[in-house]
Amino acid sequence: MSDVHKESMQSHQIGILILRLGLAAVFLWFGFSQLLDGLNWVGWVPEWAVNLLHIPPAMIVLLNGAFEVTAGGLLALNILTRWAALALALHLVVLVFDIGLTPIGVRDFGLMMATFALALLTKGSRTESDMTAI
Amino acid sequence: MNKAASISIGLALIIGIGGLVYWQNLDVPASQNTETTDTTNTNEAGGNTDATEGMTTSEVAQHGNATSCWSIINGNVYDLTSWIPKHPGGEEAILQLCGKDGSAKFNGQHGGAALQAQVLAGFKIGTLIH
Repeated sequence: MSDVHKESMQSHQIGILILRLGLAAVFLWFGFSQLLDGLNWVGWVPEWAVNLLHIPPAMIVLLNGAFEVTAGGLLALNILTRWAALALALHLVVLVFDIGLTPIGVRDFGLMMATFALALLTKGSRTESDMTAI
Repeated sequence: MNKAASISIGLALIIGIGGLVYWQNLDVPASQNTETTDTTNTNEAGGNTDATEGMTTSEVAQHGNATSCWSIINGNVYDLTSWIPKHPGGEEAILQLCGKDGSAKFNGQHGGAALQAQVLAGFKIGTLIH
């Protein structure tokens, strides 16, 4: 393998590492916030979610927080990264559609695209065992 | 990076973020207690013991900073102090409303949104009188 190719691969791996840890930090922060300070998030639970799940909004916040901590933890630990990123990206798709065209919605859209990118990058041409080395 | 190092970094991140959020939540009740005391004092000074009574624009203007942030939105007065560090859109979005009529900015950003209206309702402390 040429030096240029090696360097390119190394940059690629560092890029994925930064993306993975950065996104993990974001999801862990929001997840822990919902678990530890759930009442402040109850107002953000959409009515359709309460009607769909038939559980109290506070419980939805806790479940959402648990999901984000679990998936964010998997990203941080580089375990099932592709599937965790995909689940989080799909989760963000729902949030983006629900929030709409506001600064928060646009920010979440950016996070969603970055999370999708992570899911695709960890698939790539490499095997899962190769990815655990990143 | 080998697997052990990768997992160590991941664990450090999880524990670090969890600790940071926990520490932030420990800090909030103390500042909320201070706010409650401040609000009571203001009301006593103004001879107004009922927090849901009418308030004037000059009263609201006295609470124009991060330590005591009141805002007028659509004819009601809200104490947004505790919401400043929690606003998903950033602190600045709330700080710019402190001590002022924030109706235009709120409606421009969240007008017609039931969720945000519901969140805002939780901070109502009175209505505007002229």
